[in-house]
Amino acid sequence: MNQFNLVVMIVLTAAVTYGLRISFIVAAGRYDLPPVVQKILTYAPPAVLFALITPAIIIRDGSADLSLGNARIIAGLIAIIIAWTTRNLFLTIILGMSVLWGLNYLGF
Amino acid sequence: MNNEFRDEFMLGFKKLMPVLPAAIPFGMLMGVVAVDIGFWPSTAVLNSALVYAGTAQLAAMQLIGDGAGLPIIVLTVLVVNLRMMMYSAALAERFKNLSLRWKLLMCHVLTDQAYAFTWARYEEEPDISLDRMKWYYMGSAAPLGVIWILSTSLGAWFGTRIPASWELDFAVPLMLIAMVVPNIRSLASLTAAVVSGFLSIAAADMPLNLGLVVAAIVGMLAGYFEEIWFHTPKEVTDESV
Repeated sequence: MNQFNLVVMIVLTAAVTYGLRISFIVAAGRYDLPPVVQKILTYAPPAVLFALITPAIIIRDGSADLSLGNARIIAGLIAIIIAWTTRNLFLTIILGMSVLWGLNYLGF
Repeated sequence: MNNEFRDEFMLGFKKLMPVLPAAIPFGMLMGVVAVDIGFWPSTAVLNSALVYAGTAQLAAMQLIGDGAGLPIIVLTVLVVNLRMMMYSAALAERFKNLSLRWKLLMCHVLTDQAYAFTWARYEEEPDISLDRMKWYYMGSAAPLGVIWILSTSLGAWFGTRIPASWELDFAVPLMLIAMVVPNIRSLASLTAAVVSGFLSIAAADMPLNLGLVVAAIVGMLAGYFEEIWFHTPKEVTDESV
């Protein structure tokens, strides 16, 4: 994306985000999502974010790489375990990157 | 601002303090990653200032790196930030007598933390006046925005010097993991994550990154059905009302 497109992206995503923030507080009329939709949307964070995370780990140069040669799989799994057990943002990122660098260094 | 309001602001700020040490390196990393995928330092800072939502910004970064188009990026940010609408709904009744200017200002710094602190304060002191509350809110919300912008700037200006061999793009999924995995505390949300993750690979070849949309929607539905089929529907019963 060139810089112009990035700025367009920033403006659009900012508008959407601000729109959600002001939705009920500023809009006077009361409206509500159906309960079923609300319920389904509670699963948006894990579903959307894992749809981003998984390809970022597994897809290498345009196709799925499930071999041991893909160091990101091991680094990613370790990061998931650390995030799950410690809930620590930095430990997760630092150890995840360290494992990736370590495996790259060892020639994976 | 008289003394009473300044005290409220400081009270909110004290609540926020423990969050700040974590926000600084996170913001810096956001700046570094943004520059790494092609933002100018100035546009990286603009992004943090205008969007001001870490997870959504990261999701957008990942998609830009993947070469996705604008519609998919905007849609993803919308879904990732839908919880802001729930916070907005929860606070609307409380804030309804504020002036429009205050509402617009307060909404821009509405985050997970600001919502949590405000809600906790109302639990403790249900009769707190709106005038005191708005300063408490600003104290617990606005400084994080300032820190977010400053730390993104710092990272963006340092980030220009990091070599590609460091594979810094991998920091984006790692940050997303760090933010979402600790919140997976039920079989239903685990189902949503696993189903969506699997489908995102199976559907990776769909055009326009539509695989992401398909994976996310099916993942959400899987979580929902796991919940209603395999667990005693406690809150679900009021759906029939």
